[in-house]
Amino acid sequence: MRRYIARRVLYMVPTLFAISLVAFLIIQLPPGNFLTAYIAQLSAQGQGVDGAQIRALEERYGLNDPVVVQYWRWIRGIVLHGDFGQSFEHRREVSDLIWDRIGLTLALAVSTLILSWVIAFPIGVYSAVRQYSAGDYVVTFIGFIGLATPNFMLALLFAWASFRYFGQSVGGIVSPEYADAAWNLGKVMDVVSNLWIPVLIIGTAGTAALIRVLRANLLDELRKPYVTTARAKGLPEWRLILKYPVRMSLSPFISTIGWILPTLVGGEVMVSIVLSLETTGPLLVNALQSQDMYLAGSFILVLGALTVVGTLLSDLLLAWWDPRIRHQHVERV
Amino acid sequence: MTDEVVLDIRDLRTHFRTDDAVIRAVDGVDLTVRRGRTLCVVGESGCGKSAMARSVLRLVDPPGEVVGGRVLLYPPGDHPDTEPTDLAALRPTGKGIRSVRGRDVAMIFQEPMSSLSLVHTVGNQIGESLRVHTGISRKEARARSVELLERVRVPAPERIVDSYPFQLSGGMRQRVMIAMALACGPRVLIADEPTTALDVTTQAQILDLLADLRRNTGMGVLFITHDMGVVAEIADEVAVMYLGTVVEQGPVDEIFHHPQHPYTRALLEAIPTFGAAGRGRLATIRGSIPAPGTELPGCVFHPRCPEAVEGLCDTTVPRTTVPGPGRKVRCLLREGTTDREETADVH
Repeated sequence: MRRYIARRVLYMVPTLFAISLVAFLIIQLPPGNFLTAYIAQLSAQGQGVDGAQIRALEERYGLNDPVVVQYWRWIRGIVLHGDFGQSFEHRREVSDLIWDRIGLTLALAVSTLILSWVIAFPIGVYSAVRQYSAGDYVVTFIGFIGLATPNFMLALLFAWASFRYFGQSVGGIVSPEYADAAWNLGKVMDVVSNLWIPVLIIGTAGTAALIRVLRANLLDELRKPYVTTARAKGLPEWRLILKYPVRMSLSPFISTIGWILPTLVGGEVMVSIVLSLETTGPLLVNALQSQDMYLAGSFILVLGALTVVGTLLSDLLLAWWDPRIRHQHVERV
Repeated sequence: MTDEVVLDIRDLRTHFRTDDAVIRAVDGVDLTVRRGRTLCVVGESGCGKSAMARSVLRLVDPPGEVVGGRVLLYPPGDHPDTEPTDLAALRPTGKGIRSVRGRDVAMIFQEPMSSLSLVHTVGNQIGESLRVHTGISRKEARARSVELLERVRVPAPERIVDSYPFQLSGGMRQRVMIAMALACGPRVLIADEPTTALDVTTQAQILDLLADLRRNTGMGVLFITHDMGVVAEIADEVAVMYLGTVVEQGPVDEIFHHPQHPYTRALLEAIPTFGAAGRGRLATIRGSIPAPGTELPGCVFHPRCPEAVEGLCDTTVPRTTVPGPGRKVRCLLREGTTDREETADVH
């Protein structure tokens, strides 16, 4: 087992290298750079641009160097000093900007994951075991609605309803009074109390999808011969269902836990913009638009790295859960 | 050997209701399992033998349903005054049938790979029925599992008990299945094609093991197979099934040496033989089993029967006749040859 973990960790190194390369190349792909975008913006506002000043800036940020040199400078800073470079737009260190956001994004992702599991698990099991019952139809119907409703629309509805009926403006995970406060218990409680709305909104589609997949997986397993064997031993029905087919039907889920982060980051952008949450999504979109390359690249890199780590965790979890994977390389006894 | 009856199946009917038709998978079967004896039920795929076996423990998956008949489980010999339990009258999901499953009547299945959970240890799965029926602790259950593995001649049971089924060979897996079935000392063992998925050598070992266990425990065995070779090896009595009905029944020697029903004869002729007599093409039974749900007038076998008489076999339903002691046959052509006639519902 230890060798398995060591090998998997080792595999992560080339993967991360590839991610960093791709992240950097992607943000280099659009024509121009932050300065050209900046100049265009200035010209649109009718302001003159001093050619000498532009050249000085280009010189300073090394924007005329070959891509390889720029990449080398960027990645060396990250690996050696944890320095992700400067954000042009915010005129701050990228690392100052991203860590808070990534913390909130992770909190949102993990809470959403837990919530959708807690809701989806019992419902999925119920609707598979009682296939075609009235309850199954109701759950399936609600599930499809959940799947089909765009998250940003739910967010808009929520924002409108809370403003209209409670006189409260929804927005932000951290309430204004705590905005500049250091992290303490009060701030944590505040975040938790504000988090549940976006968690619920972002979780709906995922929960609905989870119910559908769990139901389908379990329906496959329920007809397998080992279930009949367990029944023939005289086990009570619910006990055997939870012990055998449910256990088998959960493996596909565990293996996909690692992917939940990128889908959530993608899914929450619009919700976060609507509800003005300080997560990575809106900042990343903004950075991409203004070609703020170090900020955008660092975001993509860190989220990619988190996904790789998530995949590793889910693989380890799966090895613990499923002995067939754990004993893959062990000879037959 | 006694004639003590442990399980008596009377006029059992199991139907599968689909949108188009009602499939009569088991259509009035009478069988008797005696203590310490093996009753083999033989027939082609799709003749209803598996559905019949599963009906005993009410394990037929929907849309299948036991719609009629009785499955009488007799109490152990030391309680002769207790009434037998009718398993067919119990609720298929109720407590009553659950207390019978695994404790009084145990079952082993065809595919030991898919019939065992691959993610639970062997010991966990063997000890489970003990824990459900006797409430013993996890530790005791494990110790009993090791004993049981020893009884089914698994080498190094202490090690195997903690392994997973995917680490074992097919034969070992089937031994684990048997150990599982023996756990609570059942009075009846139902074996649904337990050797079909195994190679011939392993098959012989498993059959030997089952015969020994039956002798030592005195349990009655209901053995389902399509293989006449297996029947010859293990059976005391044979019932030949075709399309949900038993067409012929009797002691194994009688069935092999004096088959009465054309279908039984056809099955026996289809056994491949070695030597000069076996040269040439394999004998087969003409045609195949009709599509499920087909309603046939007259004798169910007449479309494939080499001896079918037009105007008789395709119009009249045969009755059960008794050509000799312990023998039954359902064939119109035999009805005239015996004077000891009886109708299907007289015993």
